[in-house]
Amino acid sequence: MDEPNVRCLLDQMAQAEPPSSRVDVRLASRLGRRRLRWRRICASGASGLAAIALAGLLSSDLITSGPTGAVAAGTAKAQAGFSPFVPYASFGWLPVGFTADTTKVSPPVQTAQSTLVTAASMLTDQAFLLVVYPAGSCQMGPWGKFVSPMITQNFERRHHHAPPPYFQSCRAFNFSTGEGVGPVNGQVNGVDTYLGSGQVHGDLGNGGNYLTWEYAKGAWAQLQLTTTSSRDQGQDSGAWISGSAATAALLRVADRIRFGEGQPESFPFQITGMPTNQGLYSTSYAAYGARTLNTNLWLGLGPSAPENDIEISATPANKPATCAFVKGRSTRGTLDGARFTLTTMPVPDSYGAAVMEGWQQEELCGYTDHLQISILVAQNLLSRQRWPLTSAELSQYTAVTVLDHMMLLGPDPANWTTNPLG
Amino acid sequence: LSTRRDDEFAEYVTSRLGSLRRTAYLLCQDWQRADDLVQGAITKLYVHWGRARAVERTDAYTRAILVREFLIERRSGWARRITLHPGPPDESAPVADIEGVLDLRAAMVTLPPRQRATLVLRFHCDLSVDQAAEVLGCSPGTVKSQTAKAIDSLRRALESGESPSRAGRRGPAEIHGVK
Repeated sequence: MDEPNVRCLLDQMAQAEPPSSRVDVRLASRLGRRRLRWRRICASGASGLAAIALAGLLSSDLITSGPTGAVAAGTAKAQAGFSPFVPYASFGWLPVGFTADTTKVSPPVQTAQSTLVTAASMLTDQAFLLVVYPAGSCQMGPWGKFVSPMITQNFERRHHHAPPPYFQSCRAFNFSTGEGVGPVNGQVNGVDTYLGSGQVHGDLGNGGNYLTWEYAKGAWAQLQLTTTSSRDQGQDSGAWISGSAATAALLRVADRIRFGEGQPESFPFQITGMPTNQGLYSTSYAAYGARTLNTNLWLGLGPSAPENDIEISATPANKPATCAFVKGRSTRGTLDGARFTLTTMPVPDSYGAAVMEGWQQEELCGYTDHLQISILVAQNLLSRQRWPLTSAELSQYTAVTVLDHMMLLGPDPANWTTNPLG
Repeated sequence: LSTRRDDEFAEYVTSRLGSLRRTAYLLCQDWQRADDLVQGAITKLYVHWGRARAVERTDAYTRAILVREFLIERRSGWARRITLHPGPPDESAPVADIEGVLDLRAAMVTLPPRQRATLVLRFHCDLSVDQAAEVLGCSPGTVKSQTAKAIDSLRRALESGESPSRAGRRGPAEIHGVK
């Protein structure tokens, strides 16, 4: 065999009648545009899906007072961003009956752009919600708005229009310029605080009074005392905190909050060697239970797939859980001994109403090395619709790619790592 | 501007789609994967369309994206490590094939991706050694050695008769008169 023979045979092979094409030029344009947009956003210095995720949880409707001008900053050291694997803030003091319980209200959620920690009362349905932002991510605007330029940009990237007013600010409230401006409701570490009321966290709690203060230069925190149930259990008991006692409790809890003293969180897996075009760029985690027997890690992929929000959960388990198998949408497989089921579902739009055309949500459920694994990819746009998948096609799925690059560390927390991204 | 860019891009890709698919098929020997490969490559092409349409040889630019996409994908060694339960049959494309082509196809699959890409670039895309080296990001000497190794491997694979498609049939040497 020589070069002319190879040329001849390749020509014959290339002349074979191809099957109908699945290549979608419009899809390529659409995805290409997204990537271009993402590159421009990165170039302008804005990043972070985690911030927008948290912002999506925040909503509020009322503020009763606000700042008149510059305020003094607290004594904590300002940080431009947090480590996503080290809880940045924790409660140093809580009223009697309250505990930093991670299951009753919410596990702590740590991102590079924010910290959420909660504490619930064991006696009543009240809870404290603390949200802390790094320096520069939120600021008092010139019109008394608590705004986040980054969140605004991220919203525009996703929805292609300016965010509505309720979304525009870090905690989505406006300091009204004409009313109630001026009163200061107390001091935390010598820093003025501003008292508002409304709903700080859309999914958690039913509103209530909250404090906002600048805990370090250019860095703001918010603490709310809310109720976790519409029945308001324990309202008649002596343990219920309301009125001026609520303001005093908020001030005292805020005064004792510890910033930047957290211990690194441990994870039962480490992700290494992701393809260079899918570099993990944004992380956050939520930890359940004491020293986390169930840890969720949220990731985003790099510029190649800016819409892929990934949630990874790994939980020690003695036997595998049942993984849902949807005929026509699920494929079972084994990757290096790890059995898994991959299922894709249509993705509803941000309002849960319509299904986003072409978008799929990937759900990978697997078990190996005494760990129950769950990998969710919130949005992924794939060209194929043919099931079941071939082994080569499986590699195109982000959830399977993540599993492929996960080093599992077993069920013993002593072997876990504080550096899940390798 | 965006519409004009999109129109130009769509017009170019549509006119080259057949050629891109064939090249991708020769690289990965599977039409389904070939379409995925082309889909990924043209998405990258869109991102770099401003530069691509400005260069003198847009086709060469596009081909380079396609080949690099293939090489990046193959580096993972995915196919060797994943199995399915139960294994669904791969959809067979309606290919008007001949035995020699089947033999070559089976032999091509055994080649390392880089050697396969070298053969496709040199003998299907008709690139010179220097041009192939530019696409592959290596020296012309490497292209020459990869070509020689690939042809040698093909020759041995075809002569040994190990390729599954060859069993019970005549070899390509008998069909095409190659040694």
